[in-house]
Amino acid sequence: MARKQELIQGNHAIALGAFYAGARFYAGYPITPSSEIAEVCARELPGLGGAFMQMEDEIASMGAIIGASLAGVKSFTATSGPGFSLMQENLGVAIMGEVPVVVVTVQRSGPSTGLATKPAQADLMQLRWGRHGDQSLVALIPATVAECFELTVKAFNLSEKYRAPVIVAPDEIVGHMRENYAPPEPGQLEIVDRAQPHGLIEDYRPFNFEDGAVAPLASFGSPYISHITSSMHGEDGYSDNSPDNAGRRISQLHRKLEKNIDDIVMTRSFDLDGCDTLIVAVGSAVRAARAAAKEARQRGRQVGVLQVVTMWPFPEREVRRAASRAETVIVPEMNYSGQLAGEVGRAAPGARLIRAPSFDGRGLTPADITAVL
Amino acid sequence: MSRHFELLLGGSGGQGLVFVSSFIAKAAMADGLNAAQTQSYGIAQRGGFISAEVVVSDQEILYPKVTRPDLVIALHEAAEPHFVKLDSKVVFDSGLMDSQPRPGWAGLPFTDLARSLNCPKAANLIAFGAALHFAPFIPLEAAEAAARESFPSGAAEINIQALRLGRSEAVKKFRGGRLR
Repeated sequence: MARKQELIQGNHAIALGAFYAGARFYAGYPITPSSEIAEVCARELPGLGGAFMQMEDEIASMGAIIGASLAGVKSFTATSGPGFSLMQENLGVAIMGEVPVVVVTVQRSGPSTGLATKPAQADLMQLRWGRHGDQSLVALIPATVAECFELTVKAFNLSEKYRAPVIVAPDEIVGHMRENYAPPEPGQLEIVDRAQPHGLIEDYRPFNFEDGAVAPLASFGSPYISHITSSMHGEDGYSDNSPDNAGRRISQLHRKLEKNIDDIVMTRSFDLDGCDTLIVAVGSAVRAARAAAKEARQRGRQVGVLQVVTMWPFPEREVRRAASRAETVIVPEMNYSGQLAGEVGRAAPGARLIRAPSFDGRGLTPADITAVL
Repeated sequence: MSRHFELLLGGSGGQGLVFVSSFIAKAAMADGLNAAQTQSYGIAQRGGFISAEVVVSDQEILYPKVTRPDLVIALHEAAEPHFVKLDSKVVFDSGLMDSQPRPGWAGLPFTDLARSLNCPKAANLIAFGAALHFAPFIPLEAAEAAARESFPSGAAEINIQALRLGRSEAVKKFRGGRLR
């Protein structure tokens, strides 16, 4: 039997997706346009046997979810640009300590506090490079309410599997939009839990620096003692500043994601077969792109859309392949600086690239894209 | 023939535009349609121009925002400058807006009518009821079904009364008169 359709907001769907994935701890500091996620968590988590903590700021929020995750509870927070900036330092801690956490940042118009209620896609580079140091993480960008739910489940799965922070980064339009959606039944979507240690307690190592390896993660309070630090450490978690160890450590942080790129990178294709014009987009821009492409096809044009779902690691191979068959590649995005276009150009250096930027807080319309088609 | 309808609403913060636009989306869902609802507001919690948008369709909704409104509901004079240039039918609150007669604009005193129900908050649903006279993109019964499903029984009854009052007042004042 088909599940009942409900009218659900993107932010609400993110919270529901997190609960579905097994998240039972949320710590955060409310900020527009993400506050509905905190609101739903405050209301629902206690009834699910979980906990909601309102923190004094976003630095503390990140610290709290790292701690809760290490205690064995799937944990997340939600914020927007100004708060996401404050989270960078502790996001680095989660990367270095290989702590599974999910961070939602609903992108609004900046810089700084900017236009608090208006949409933007100007944090694409911050998602990837916001922290100092030689690091990598995963960032997913939904374009529909359904994707808000399902990509949040996926975010927890990837985070648990690869012991890495995963960011979910809808723009304000997607976070605040309501659409009809029937959430999946329990058991319908795969749920991944972090691997637990087995064997002798004295043999347990909280890290494994073999190429692409991910060590099981003991929970604080379990018989398996572990030490997690943001400073350079060996596989036992304790200080090891030797060049050999540092090289292996940094390499493994990257290689665990690189070796599993097919599991992590997601794109969606719309009418790519035989198209001579390709539109590459993320988030709400995908919606405008698909509407513009449909209209153009009705006028006899061959226009397809490639949705970048996994923003980081960037789907270089998928973009290159799609671009190689097109005469023109159009990149509509809600920022001045061409953050997505730069990556598309890097992945497909020979492509004839046309940008369609929008950065006045109004969001991209199909007409903005039709104007450059 | 596919069904696709775009509704634009404007008013002032606190008039329940997000509420009523979400309700309209649910009413369309009760009629088996897909629905997308969006809104645009500033940083004030009360006052200031607010717009809300609803797109309903029997097809997949590609772009969730309104591009060509089939109907506009204006609940406050703050909305007027945003809507005067639109080439759309406009249903407006003639009790709150001192609007010049314009072709395609139809005024009813939604807020005054809501007071007559002892429920001033219901002005937005009265406006939706009236809108269904000018543009019957879904049957009133679907809206009533959505009200029964969305609200506890007492509130559902008042909201259903509001919907019916809006439509009957529109019928009375603009008999036969779907705009243009």
